[in-house]
Amino acid sequence: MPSTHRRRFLASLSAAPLLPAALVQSQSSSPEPGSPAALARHLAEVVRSRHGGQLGPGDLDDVTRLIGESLEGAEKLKAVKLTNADEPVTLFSARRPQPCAPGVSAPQATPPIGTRRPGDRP
Amino acid sequence: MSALELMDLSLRELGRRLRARQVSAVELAEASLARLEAHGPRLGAVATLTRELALAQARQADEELRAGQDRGPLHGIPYGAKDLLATRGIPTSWGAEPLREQVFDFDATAVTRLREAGAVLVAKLAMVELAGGLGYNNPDASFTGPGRTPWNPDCWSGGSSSGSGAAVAARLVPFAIGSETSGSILTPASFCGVTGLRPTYGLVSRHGAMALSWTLDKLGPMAKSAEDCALVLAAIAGPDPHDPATVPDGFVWPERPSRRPERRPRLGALRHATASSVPAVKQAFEQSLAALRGFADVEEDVPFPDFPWGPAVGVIVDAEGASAFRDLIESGATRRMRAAADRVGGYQMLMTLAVDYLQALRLRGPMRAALDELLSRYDALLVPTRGGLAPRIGYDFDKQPDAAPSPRPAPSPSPDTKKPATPATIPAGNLAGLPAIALPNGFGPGKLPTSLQLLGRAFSEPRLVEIAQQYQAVTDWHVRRPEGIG
Repeated sequence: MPSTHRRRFLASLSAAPLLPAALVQSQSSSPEPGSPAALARHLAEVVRSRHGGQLGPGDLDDVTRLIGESLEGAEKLKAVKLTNADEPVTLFSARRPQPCAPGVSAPQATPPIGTRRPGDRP
Repeated sequence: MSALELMDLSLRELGRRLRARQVSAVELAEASLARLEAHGPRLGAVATLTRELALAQARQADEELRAGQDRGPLHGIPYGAKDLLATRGIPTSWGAEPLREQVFDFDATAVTRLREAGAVLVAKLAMVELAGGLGYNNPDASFTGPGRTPWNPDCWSGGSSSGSGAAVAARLVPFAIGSETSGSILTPASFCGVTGLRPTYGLVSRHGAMALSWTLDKLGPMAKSAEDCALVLAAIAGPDPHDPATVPDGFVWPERPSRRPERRPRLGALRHATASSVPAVKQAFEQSLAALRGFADVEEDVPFPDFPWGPAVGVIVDAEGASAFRDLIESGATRRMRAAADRVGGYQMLMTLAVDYLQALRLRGPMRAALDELLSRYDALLVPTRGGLAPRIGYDFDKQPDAAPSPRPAPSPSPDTKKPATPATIPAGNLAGLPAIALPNGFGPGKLPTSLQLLGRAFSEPRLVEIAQQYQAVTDWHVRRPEGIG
């Protein structure tokens, strides 16, 4: 929404500071169910329920708009086809165990495949 | 020699004069501190002056040099650090009003390495609050006020390393450390007319640096020239057990000025590189290509891989930033941020869906592969660093998409736009963890600088700097300095 529209919109809603503008507007125009705009309204409700006490007049309108923009951006990520094998690029890696404290058994090496007994964890 | 003239010298020349006893480290520190006091506030460039520490470090540097202990090319040279690097006992504000009094009891690894290299910390430099992670939408987004480019203080210095760019451009410090999540070194380098080097992800430890996005954040040098950047990078690069992202590779830059490369560089100018540029940027880019052809083979109209680069960076910064700053956001402290957008942006970020975040991370594999395949054919890709000039203070970024600050992507063009888009090299390079260097390459209306970006393969910094050095050997944009900084 252009900022000029946003400001005008916010001014018109000063009497209902904690109700998202998008919800007020819903009486006349509802976004398509499942659309980013519709989901943004629901997520803005979560923000209101969790953090409404921290928000000032009109803030929830901005949050709703920002969530909608973010979700629209996320929709564009779906345009690239990925396979089931495409893993997220993350930093996590397992580390070799450090020496144990006294009285604690060190982890045992995993038995080779074929020597495991039923019930053994891989 | 005046303080301005001293701060205008290259790092090698400063080192030569220090070793020839023509100037002392204390004199250099005093010169830098005097200039920071005189010009720093006007430019919104300084968060904290570290006078006491600087003079102690400078005295030690002088004593060591007199005793024949030489720590290398940065020994005795003053510098400024972006105020997101932890410094023991000195406030580290992250640019944010709620954290103005924050003090750590340790030094960031980059600060430690610079100290070990003999460099002298004279200032913590101003920055956009929380490195812009909450979505600021105008230049006035730091408790120190808006950063101003010394070329025209009515205009923005860029972000989020605002103070680092302005302080180098105004010759307040010989070099500075900045950070980049998606554009925070390259953008201020462009708007301030300085050289900025974004290293490969993992080349420089982020230990002790504010985290905005663990998988994107990088630290890098900003200085007058490519070689100065290389000398600084050599001091701060290398593995660090405190930062699991660091790689074993270091970065070595020769003690002596480099010789000419053995073969002509092969460069690729991107298709639609200036599609979204203002005329001055387009003209400067074309002039740069002409200069580059003097020593390199330049292929034009090189297509750039088509991926949703900007949205992917946006989702990753939203998710990781929301996690990194969750306590701050949920406490309500972000309500005291400077920029109105930053007072509400965190709540939106908290609503990022996990599946969207993972989708963005999954895309980084094919994105990285596509970029590496393209870069395997070139030493570097060429594009204007920013398509626009520094916007005026008070400008609403939503009205000028290319000035959109890092790390947020520029707003998407409207669906009916037929005009081709400039390749999104800043989010792309950051998503793939690639190095890039921004070089001053001209001026536009209002004496505002323009900039050329060289984007290279991972760990190709030596080659990028070589090419940048060659470019700066045949141009003089990087040695020009603003008026009104005397």
